[in-house]
Amino acid sequence: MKGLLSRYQNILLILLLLFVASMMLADNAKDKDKTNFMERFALTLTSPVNSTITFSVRKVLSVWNNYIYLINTSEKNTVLKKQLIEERFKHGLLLEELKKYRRVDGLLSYHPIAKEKFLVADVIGWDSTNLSQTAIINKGTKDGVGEQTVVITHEGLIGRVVSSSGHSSRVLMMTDSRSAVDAYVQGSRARCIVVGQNKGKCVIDYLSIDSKAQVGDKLISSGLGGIFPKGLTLGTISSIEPDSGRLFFKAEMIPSANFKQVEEVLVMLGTMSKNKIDLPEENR
Amino acid sequence: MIPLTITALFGTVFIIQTTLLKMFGSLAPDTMLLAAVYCGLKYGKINGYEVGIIAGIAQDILAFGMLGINMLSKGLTGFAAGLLKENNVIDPGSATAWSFLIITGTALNEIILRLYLIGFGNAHIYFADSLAAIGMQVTLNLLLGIPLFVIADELLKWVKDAFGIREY
Repeated sequence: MKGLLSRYQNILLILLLLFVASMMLADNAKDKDKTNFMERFALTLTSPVNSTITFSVRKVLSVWNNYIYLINTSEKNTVLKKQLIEERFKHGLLLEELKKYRRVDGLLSYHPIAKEKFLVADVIGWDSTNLSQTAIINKGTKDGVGEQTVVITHEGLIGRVVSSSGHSSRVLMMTDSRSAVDAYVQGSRARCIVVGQNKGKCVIDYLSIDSKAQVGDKLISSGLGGIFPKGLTLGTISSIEPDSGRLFFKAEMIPSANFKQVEEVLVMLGTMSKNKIDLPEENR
Repeated sequence: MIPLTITALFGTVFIIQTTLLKMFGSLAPDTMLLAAVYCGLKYGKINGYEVGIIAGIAQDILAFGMLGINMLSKGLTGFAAGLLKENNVIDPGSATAWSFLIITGTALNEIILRLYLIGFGNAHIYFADSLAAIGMQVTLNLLLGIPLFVIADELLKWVKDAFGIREY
């Protein structure tokens, strides 16, 4: 028996590995959106280390950028001061416009995003594989962040929380291939699904060839998927062409948010678990 | 002392990979693959296999919903590296052997991950894109791998001298 085992040791080791890995993968496939105990435990264990290292490096970079590397700062300051004066003037005009608009339409009460509560979180780590696009943020269940909480920046959608521990959460980014967001083309209102590709661009699926979408059109979340609220900016169509013999365009989108250099994010607390946006009755 | 040194070295590089390297771009070298290749090359198929599995599990639990996939690819890579060394197919001290194993290990790893994404993810996998991504990953792994292996060799030599370890 021992001789037989040592004779076929190589094959047995490979088969054992294949078997165990298959079991684990089958378990993953069963509950795609759920995290297991090991993943949650690892998140709890690694987040203090990630947090400390990221914090230290950012502090060093901040000292370098703000106190040492100050070439051209004075010239930039002069230009920015001029810009600020112009922008203040425009801001005053726009405020007046906004007040008028609110009076007429009651804009604020109709805007779903304006009613959400936000929490600012720092990105403290990324996953170690390049075929998975997740980030770790320094807010967790103790801050009111749970699974399916939506994460954005001022530029647009980042993704959703897929697992949380006490003080940290893992965010599945929109660019991950396991992420899909139901969307509208902002101008033509054509519906589609934005699917991540583990790279800078996302693929746009099911965009009908009847729609008048074109390169440069903006995509926003439709609110129909049950997780992401309506109206979040997703990105801009970067390429679009008819897919021969099919009813849908073959299109790609460049996300609005800068996923490569995201440091701080906004967590939309009201979106956790169920997308419970406080929409007025007539908009539901 | 030797396993502790290897763990400390590759562990430190792994932490740097998950925190700092991705600050500057979406791609980063795969340090756990490098650990599996190195241990397979130096200490044979069983050690390469074990280190590959442990390193892969560490990566899997730090990613979301991928449990098993890196364990499989890294385990196989470590095992193959060790098998080639034990059968004297390659010289474990030569940079050519390191490069060959890093290239083939990375390609194997990327192919397994892509097959997984086709099977379980929504990904549209295009051949040309995949080839470019694999090429990029191979380059990054080589750029970090060769110097890291040299550092690991030097570090282990120093540890052996300092602690009077004859052979491991």
